[in-house]
Amino acid sequence: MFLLAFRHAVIIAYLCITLGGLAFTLWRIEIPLLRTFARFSYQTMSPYQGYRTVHQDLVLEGRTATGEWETISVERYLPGRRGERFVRSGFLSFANRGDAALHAAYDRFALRVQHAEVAAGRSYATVQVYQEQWPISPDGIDALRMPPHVVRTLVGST
Amino acid sequence: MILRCAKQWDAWWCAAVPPHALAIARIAIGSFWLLLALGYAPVLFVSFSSSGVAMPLLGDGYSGMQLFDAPSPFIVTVLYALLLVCLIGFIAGYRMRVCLLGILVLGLEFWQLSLHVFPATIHRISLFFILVFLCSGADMALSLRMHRERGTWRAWESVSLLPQRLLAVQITATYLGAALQKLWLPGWEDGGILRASLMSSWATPLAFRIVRWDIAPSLYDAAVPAIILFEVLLAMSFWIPRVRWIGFAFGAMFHIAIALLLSIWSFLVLIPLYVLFLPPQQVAAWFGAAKTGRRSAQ
Repeated sequence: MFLLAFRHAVIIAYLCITLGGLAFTLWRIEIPLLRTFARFSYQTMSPYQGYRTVHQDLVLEGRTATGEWETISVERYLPGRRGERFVRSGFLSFANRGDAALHAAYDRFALRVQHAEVAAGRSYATVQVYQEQWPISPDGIDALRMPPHVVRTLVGST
Repeated sequence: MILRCAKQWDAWWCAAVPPHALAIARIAIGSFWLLLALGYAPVLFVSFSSSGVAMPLLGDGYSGMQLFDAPSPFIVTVLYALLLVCLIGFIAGYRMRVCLLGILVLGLEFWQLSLHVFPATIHRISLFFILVFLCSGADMALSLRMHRERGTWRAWESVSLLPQRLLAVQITATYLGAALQKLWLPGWEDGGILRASLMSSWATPLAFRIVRWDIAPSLYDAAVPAIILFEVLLAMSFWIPRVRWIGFAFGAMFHIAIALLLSIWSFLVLIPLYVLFLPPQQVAAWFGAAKTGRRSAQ
């Protein structure tokens, strides 16, 4: 009897959470008691919400002992498909904690890159992380990644 | 009347059934997780260890616990090897719950070390599947466990239908939510999102080729309500026996198209999981289970 009641309590709780998730997905309505679980449920049913008309990527540059700036391969540190790198380069989970946390994360990333480069035998006095954005184009991802289309922003450094 | 309804409700959710559909789902999603994990092998140190650029969500002083800091390459190798062992154990149906606990703990660790910067719907769905599988009898068929206990791969025992139903309802909710949110999301007001998606960072060379055909914007606009309707009908079709297999076929084509155009292949795992919508007895019959009668006491 207890098992039966427990099973059905689980079912009803799950249905309430899923309906809460749907309510948030469709109308941004939140039920206070279910907030955490319904948010999780929402995250299982809300892929591909919008789009952007720009591409985005990180650019890593390191200053050598002679004072020259060299480009460091970003693929080495953010491996994966271009789309995945687009998402990763936004450091969303840190952005959710606010601007200060996001900038600290980019600085930390720059420091990690600098240490990894040193370990690989390439020493840089400073490493800077830039975010580049450029418009999408039917001719390919990097078709418009050139002046004057590219907007470059310094987001972190050692 | 109420009693009859209650019995039907209970039977729909919790009847004792053959576990083969659940076992196939276990093997399918376990194999998907294994492939996902193997994909990270070449970048293990750079993405997850202190020698690379791991960006722990809870480490680096955020939680005040060194436990969550990026570990050394040696520790990462050990954790990764353990994860692979757990995944193989889960797929094989050997000590399933222990393996699932391992997958849960290690998966969360790898997530907080690096994967959190790539928030993905499939990660949340995977977590839900782990929690449901933990309370399921998915290792009661097509498993090393049953082979060891009974001496044959065809051995099975009845299990509660509840985990299978929960997973099927969750997949339905994913399709429904993904469809219905498009009714109000600003990005989905017209076909611009479709055209932009075919030029996005996710787009494949095939997608760029299609967008260069210069299709009229009105066609993209018309495609948006068609996609919404398609996704809603898809979610509903899985529950209607007469059109279920048509729904499966269209669902498979939908995800294959997404993989070919947007290089988002993770949702391909949903295709084998459609088995969860089939009557468990029907799936058991594929393995001759209905005839062999190896059902144990319920």
